[in-house]
Amino acid sequence: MTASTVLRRLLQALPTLFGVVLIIFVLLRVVPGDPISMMVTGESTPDDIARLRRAYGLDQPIPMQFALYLAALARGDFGTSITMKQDVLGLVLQRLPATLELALCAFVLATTTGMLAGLAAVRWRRHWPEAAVEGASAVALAIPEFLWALILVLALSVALPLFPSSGRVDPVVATAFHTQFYLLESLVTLQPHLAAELLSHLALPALALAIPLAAIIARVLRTALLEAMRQDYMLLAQVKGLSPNAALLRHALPNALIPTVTVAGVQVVLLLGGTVLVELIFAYPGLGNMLYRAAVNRDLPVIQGVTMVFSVLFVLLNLAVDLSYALLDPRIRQA
Amino acid sequence: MTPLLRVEQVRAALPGGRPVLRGVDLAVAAGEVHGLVGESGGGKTMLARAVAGVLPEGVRVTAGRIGFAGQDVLALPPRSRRALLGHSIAMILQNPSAALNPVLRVERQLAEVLRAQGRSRAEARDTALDWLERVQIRDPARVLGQYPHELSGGMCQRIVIAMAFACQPQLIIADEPTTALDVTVQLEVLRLIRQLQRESGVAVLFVTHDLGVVAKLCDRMSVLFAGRVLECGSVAEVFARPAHAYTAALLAAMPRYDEPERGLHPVPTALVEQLWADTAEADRAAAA
Repeated sequence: MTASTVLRRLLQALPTLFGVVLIIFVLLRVVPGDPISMMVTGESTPDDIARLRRAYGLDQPIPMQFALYLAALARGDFGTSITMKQDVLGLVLQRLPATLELALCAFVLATTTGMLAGLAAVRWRRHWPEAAVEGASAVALAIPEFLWALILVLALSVALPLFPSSGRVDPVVATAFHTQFYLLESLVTLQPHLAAELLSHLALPALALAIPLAAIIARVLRTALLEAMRQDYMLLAQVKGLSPNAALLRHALPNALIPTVTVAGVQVVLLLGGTVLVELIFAYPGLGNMLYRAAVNRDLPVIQGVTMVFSVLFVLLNLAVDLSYALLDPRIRQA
Repeated sequence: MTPLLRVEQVRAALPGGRPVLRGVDLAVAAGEVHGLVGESGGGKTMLARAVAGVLPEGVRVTAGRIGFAGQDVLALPPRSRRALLGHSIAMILQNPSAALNPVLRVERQLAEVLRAQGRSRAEARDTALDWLERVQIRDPARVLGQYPHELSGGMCQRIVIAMAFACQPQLIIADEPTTALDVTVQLEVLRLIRQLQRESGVAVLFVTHDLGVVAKLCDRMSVLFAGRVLECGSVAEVFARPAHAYTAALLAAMPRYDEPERGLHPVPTALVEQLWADTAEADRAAAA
């Protein structure tokens, strides 16, 4: 896939993003609940309320509000948070790195364990590893990530106090950072004690997000590997005298990765959505947590800003998945 | 003189216990091209894969002995048995497009065989180029960098043939190597196998249902039916004086382009039914 294809895909994403903006904007204004009623106290007069509505542009008809919002977006102005009185874009960008680090850790954890489990199940077919992987992945999939979050807190934070149950970092060390990418910064600046501290906070939320994804990857990879093993090229690999391990890793795996990426790619997008509840449970200061608070407070500009950022991430992730097909499958690369 | 490959009374069964080989005897001398003929489902492919030690999952050799170059291969531990593959025994499969891995370049798949013989990366590339020329592929340098889907079936089969001969084995098992190819390509591929065989002196166990191919290519032949060898001998002898009625019927069934007025003569159903009845009888006797 060439640079022009990537560019075309990104341009094609613009109508999608417009649709997202439109739907979120309209939905937020037709559902009951009004940001102003969350702000006013019993002593506010109707005049005060009318003034506030005017100040946030809520007195205009909805199409007019939407036009004004789009015009502001085009200027890079995502609006001002009603509850926090701060620029939405600034708020979102401040929280985004925390969510990205969490999602990335969960992704790495899920792909490594999922792939190893899938490979083990096929390598030791009809022996206990296959049964163990099948059983464990069934359980892992049956329980949603927010329940895993609660189970992990109970098991590894309360019953066995191994990991902290909330937050991103010990507030004492938080001042040491120059960027919001705490984990990345601690790794780049070679501060292993900080990285360890961050990882201990990341462990449980990342695990909660990773468990169902790892289970899906293990299952799909196992099925895809078994399918590959039935092909003639695996017979020929055997006839060439390759060991079972070499045949599995060099011949079956590259083929089996193609369907695995198809399924896992969709699931990674869902993982991003899963961060909302998991961040809430672990009081993790990311975008999901901010989105939840904004929804409770009817902070419309923040809700719009966060959903916008999530939509952009989805578009980029889907593009990355499509690009990885081309990397894995020469038949697609040349098509 | 002991033959290179000696299969003695080999029996094999499917997972459910249904027999696929019912006491096969077969001997292939060093340097001999041996045709293994018979109808579909007769056990030709199973015998070929039993010899290579790559039977499908669940299919087991239940009795008999397979001797190769003086070793009892069925008694070998899996690692030593695997060591024969790629060095002493190679295989050419029926469907060349499926036999090559779709996501790996030709160079990587061919070099895998050469690297297993201890060649360096650079040597493997040179040798791979050399082999592609020997199997008459035009522009071998370009083909090395290509993927199987960019090549025709005939080219894929030439590459699989190159892999087999590049192992410099003592025995090549060719399992219907021309069945999936166009008729015109078939002839070229058969000539190529014959030529490379003459140059290297390797023994070939050539599995086919095409007696015309046997006549062109093979020195000796065995006729397999329902997992048993009905007849075995030199090709000239068997074609001139078939000892078994089934062989005679198979030979009579060959279409003759030079005598179109002769018409087609399929193998008589009664004969096949009688043979299957005998087989069932023998199975019952073996089970009792």
